[in-house]
Amino acid sequence: MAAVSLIVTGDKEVNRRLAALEPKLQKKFARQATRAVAKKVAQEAKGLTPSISGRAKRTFKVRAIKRKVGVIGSQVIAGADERGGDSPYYLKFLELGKEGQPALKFLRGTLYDRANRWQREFEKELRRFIVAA
Amino acid sequence: MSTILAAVRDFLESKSAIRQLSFGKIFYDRAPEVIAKPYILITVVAVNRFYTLLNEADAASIVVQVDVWHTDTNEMEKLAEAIRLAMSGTQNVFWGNPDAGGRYVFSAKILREDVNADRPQDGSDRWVYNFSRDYDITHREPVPTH
Repeated sequence: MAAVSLIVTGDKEVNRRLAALEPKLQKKFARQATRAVAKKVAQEAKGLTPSISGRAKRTFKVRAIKRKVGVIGSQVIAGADERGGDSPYYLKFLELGKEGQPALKFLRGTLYDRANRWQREFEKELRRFIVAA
Repeated sequence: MSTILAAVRDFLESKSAIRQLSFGKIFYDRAPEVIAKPYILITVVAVNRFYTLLNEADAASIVVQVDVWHTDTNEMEKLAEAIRLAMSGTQNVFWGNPDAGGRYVFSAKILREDVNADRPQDGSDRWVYNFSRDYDITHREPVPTH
C-alpha cells in the first residue's frame, strides 16, 4: 500500500513531524486534536447562549464526525435532547432569527469570528499529541 | 463594515432578476414591523480582519446571513437561487458603486443553507417561508496610509 501523507496544518514543523508518523497514528492524533478543540468551541458557545432555565445549554455535545474516506473530525451538536426530554427547539430560532426577531448568531459567531484562534488551538493540540507520543 | 454591507446591497439591487423578484425590498439586520413579503434580509454574522506583521492588511472577510422571506415556496426558491447565482463563486469582481463605498470582492462562498417555515400567526392561514444562506465574502478593505 502506498504511503499516505496527511497535511492538515499551516505549520511546517507540525506537518513534518506528522508526516513521519504512521498513517494510523496521524489519523488518531488529528482526531484527538479536533475533539479537544471542539470541546473548547462547545464551552465558549455555551457561555454565549442566552439562558433562563439552562435547558439549551445542557444539550451541547461533542461528537465524532461519521468517518468517511478522507474525512475525520468532531462536531458540536446543540439543541437536541438525547435523554428523551423536550428538545430546546427554540435554539435554532434564536440563532437564525424568525420573522420579526433578529438572528442572535451566538453559535456561528463563536466559530466564524474566532476561526484563526481555533486553527491555532488545533495546531497546539496536535503538537501536544505528537510530542507526547 | 457598513460599506461592504452597502456594497452587498447595491450588488444585489443591480441584478434585475433579484430586483424584480424581491420588488427591491432589501434590508439590513431587521425588517420594518409591517412589511409585505417578499423581502431580503442581510445580517452580519462575523467579521475577520487580516494583518501583516506590523499593520492591518488591505483585506477583510465578512460572513453575512442572507434570508429570503416569502409566502410562496416556489417564488422563494427562485429568489434564493437568483441570489446564489449572483453571489456564490464570485472571484475578483467589483461589487457596488465605486463612488459610494463599493468593494472589490476576491471571493464569495456559501457556508450554510437552510429552509424554514413559520406557522401562521394572528389568525392568518398564511405560512411564511424562509430560505437562509450564510456567505463568506473576502474583499479588499482600504487602509489609511498616514
